[in-house]
Amino acid sequence: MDKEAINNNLKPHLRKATAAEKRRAHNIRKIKEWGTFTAYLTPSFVGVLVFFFVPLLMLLKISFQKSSANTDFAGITNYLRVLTNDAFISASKNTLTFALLAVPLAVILALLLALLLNSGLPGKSLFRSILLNPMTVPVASIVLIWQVFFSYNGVLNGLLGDLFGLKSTDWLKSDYAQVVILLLFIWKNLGYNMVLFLAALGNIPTEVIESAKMDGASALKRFFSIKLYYLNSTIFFVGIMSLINSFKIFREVYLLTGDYPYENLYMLQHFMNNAFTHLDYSKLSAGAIVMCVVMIGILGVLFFVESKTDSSVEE
Amino acid sequence: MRIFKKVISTVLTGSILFGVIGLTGCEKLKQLINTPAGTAVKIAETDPWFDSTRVQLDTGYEDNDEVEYMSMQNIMVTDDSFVMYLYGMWKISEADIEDPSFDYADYMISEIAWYSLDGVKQDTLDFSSLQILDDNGNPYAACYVNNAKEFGGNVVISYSCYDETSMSKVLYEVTVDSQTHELGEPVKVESNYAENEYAENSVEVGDGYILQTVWMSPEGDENFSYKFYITDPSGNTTIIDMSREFPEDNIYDISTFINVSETEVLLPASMDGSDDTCYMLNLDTFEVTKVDMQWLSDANVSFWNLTTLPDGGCFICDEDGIKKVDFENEEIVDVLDYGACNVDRSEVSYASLLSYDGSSVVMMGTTSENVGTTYRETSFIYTYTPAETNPNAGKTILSIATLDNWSAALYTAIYNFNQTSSDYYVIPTNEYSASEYYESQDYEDNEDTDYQARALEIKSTMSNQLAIDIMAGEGPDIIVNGSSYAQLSNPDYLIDMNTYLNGEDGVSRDQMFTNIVDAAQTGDALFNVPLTYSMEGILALQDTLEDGQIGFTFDQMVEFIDEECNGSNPLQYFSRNEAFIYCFSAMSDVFVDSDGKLNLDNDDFVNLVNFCRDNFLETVPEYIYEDSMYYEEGATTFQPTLQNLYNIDSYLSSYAYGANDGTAILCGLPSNDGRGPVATIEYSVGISAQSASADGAWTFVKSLLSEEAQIDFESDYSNPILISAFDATAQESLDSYNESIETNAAYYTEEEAREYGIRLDPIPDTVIDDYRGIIESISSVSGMDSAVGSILLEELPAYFEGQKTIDEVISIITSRAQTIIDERG
Repeated sequence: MDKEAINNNLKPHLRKATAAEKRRAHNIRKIKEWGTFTAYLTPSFVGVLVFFFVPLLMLLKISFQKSSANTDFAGITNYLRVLTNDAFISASKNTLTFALLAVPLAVILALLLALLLNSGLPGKSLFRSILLNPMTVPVASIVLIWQVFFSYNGVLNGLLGDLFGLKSTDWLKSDYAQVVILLLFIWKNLGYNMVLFLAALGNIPTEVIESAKMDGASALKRFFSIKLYYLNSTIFFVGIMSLINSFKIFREVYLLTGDYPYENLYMLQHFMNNAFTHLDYSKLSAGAIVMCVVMIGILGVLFFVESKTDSSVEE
Repeated sequence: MRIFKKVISTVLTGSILFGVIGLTGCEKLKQLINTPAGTAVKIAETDPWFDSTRVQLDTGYEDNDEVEYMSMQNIMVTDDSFVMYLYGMWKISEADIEDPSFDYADYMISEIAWYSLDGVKQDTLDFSSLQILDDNGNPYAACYVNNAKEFGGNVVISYSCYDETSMSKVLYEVTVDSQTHELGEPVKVESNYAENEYAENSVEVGDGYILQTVWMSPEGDENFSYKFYITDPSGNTTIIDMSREFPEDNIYDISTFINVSETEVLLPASMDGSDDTCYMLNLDTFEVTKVDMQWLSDANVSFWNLTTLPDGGCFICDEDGIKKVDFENEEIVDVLDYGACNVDRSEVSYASLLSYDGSSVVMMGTTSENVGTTYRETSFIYTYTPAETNPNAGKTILSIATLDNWSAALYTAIYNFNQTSSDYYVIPTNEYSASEYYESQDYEDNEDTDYQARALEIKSTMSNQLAIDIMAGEGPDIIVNGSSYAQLSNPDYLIDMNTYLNGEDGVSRDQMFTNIVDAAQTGDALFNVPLTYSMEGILALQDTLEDGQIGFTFDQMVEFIDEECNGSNPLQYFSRNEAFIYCFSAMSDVFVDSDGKLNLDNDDFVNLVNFCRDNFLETVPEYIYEDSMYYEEGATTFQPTLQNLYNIDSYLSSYAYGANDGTAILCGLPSNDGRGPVATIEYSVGISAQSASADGAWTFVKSLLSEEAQIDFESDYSNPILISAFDATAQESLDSYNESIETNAAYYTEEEAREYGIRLDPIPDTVIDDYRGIIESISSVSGMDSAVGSILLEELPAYFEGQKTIDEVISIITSRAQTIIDERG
């Protein structure tokens, strides 16, 4: 009797598994694992599908329709309407300008603050708490504070008038309007970004820094040659978050200035919001898709740059 | 594995993208023609319907030229008759007045008439010559009929007689026997009320109770209150003194009595210095309590518009139909929807409810007209009975909405169309009415309320709502008065009506005042066909103007006010904001170019703003309204005034009753270029671009442009757009005025006429040509984008108050308002 025959005659718990049985058992295990993964992932997946992908698909569909009720295929008419719309162009410019100003400022200032606090300054915890407080203030309160300060009859005009005899300026309806909003943005987001940088600075290996010191590297050299590399991914993360937050500033701008603010405060979200109010869904959808494509492009570039610098850090 | 994952993700992305585009493409393949978003709804046989009858009640004096006026008032409805109170007056001649024994009472006509249910007069009781004697058997110095009403199933006529001896008023009641139709003996109504107590209403409430209300106003006391004298069926009287029950309440008026049940009566009270209150009178316990009727207020029901029937039930009658107030369940129940029966809502909107037996409704309405120099009222009885099937089954429903108010002519046109159209049935909706929206909001008014800004905000809201619904395919098929809503003048919302006005269907622009139609266009498209219009300007004497002057520049206006108006601004009734909006609207073409670009950075705008700042106040002081009216009849000195010529009557009135000797002309409002008067489109009509029955809607629009409908619009005080309708009505108006002038000539001497500013010479026919000349001189239509207007009113006050320079304000307004225009694409 050969080995196989002997094996087959043994009781099941004593018998050795054949190759086929081993493969079968492997497949069953794999399926079970997949099943477990799927079961845990399904709720999140369904949520993302229902609240993100499906609306995105609907948005895409409506952007090619005449209107939300009239489902005739409109080709790229809506996109042309949006891309040639003066209000959309103006809103895009303002949004881009604000992002180009706000994001670098938010990152650089936060980093500088983090470096300062990380340098052994006394009262670091206290300063960190103070700088984080703006994040906890409700939006309505922020708006109220800014109105009190920057309105035509506000505190700032009062101070400037009394101290320097300057004429009052309607800050939110002037060419300085974006500066006012920039201040609001920085004030609100600085603390959070600084905390992220502080955490990242705390994770830099001290022996690398120490050895650089012993080798005679200056503080600037140490920062640019060592710390910056380790902070690379955090800078990228803070930049992305700041970019997202620069769009969210619409909320405060809307509460301060309404549906139709002064021209340099008119953002893409104003355009979207007004289109929504007027139920011009096809224009709204086309605008949203255009914005989405641009954002994907920007983020794609950022990810590419990040991946390149990240790999050099690993090396 | 990595390659496998990349393939999966690529396939997934590609399938999503191409699938979506492909699906939308498939839509195009399936639909070969553009389909509007709206859907055509047809009337089903089972849809509710009420058969209606309309019976005219003749007074019997229709052809009598000796009658000055006749009116009719409902007293009661019995099982087999309508009982009416007819009252009027004979014409009085000059000789009659000069007669020493002249007494107005001798010229009064007072009758009770019984009509069968089909409107035939069956019996009449003339009590015009009834003489009431005092306790000494002598006739009173004067006796007048207060009213005739139903009481306990009989007709009771109430008289007020003046006693010369006591110099007081004495009340009498005369009962008419319901069987014999004969007058009973006059019975004096004893008044045992104290000084400063005034008897008001005596009504039947509950099950045979009589409630007499007495208003109290103690001398020297600013508090008002009431006493209720309640007499039960046995004749026992209970007195409730509200000043003791509710000493803190200052009750100004109780004149509505609502039978909630057989034992409860709701008494809405108008209070002095506080919100209106409701009291509930319990007829079993004779207790009065305050009740909360907030649910009625929440349903936008006003107590003062409720109708109670003698046999019970409380109803709301408005232009949409009749609803019953169910106090027990605190709800409003539909009784009759006018959409379920073809009625001329211009007649029934003000009709009074006579009876409701649970299914059929009986109402009485009145129409009036001037026949020569006689005022005539004609009364109708309307009966609505539920039908088993809907006779309009199969017809397509066309919904029509107005953004402002409904005119009687429009309602009549809808009624006539529904009577004659075999394919379509028009149903009005108030969903987008600015006035309905206003009433639904809890606006609080105070001395700082900016009504102009509020009006613009409401218009903007309604315009947005309508635009949203049109795009969603849920809006009306026909839109009336959309011309002042610039947002809607867009091919997405409204059809270009030029496609219908090409003469192929019997209607062309040549039949209309084409200058008005051209001015109403938006670019090359006509989204709203003007039906009627008014013309606005300043009526001024030609001698006070320069040769060829048709309007005023800002400087000319300032000079004119100083030199010709003695400093009194013809536009003094406008606040600063109102004046700005008026003048801006009249010259809006200067500030918005054909590409839709807003251009305010010019001298024209600066001059306009400065003119308003320097010549108008923020709010109009009360004394201006107290001192004078817009146009004072009988004025001996001609005063230049703002004049709105709704129709030729307004123009002729200034000839007949003003100090206008025929040389006054209508000039334009102050403007940059001294342009002539502008037209304001009073009524316009458009067809939704998303209507599934656009051609059907056109058949209705066409009916509005018929001569019959246009003449009806003219009688609603508006200039018709149809030339033939203008010609027909202008001569009729002139003839009517000349008839009045002829009558005046018999009553007034030349000196008296000069003193009172009354014309004695006939108005010449050339006046019609003058008026037509004004119409044909119109080259622009007043209009303003309400959203832009709101921004203007938001920003300008900063300049008016000196906070900002004009350049700063212009910059802000242009920036914000241009965004609105640009967004619309």
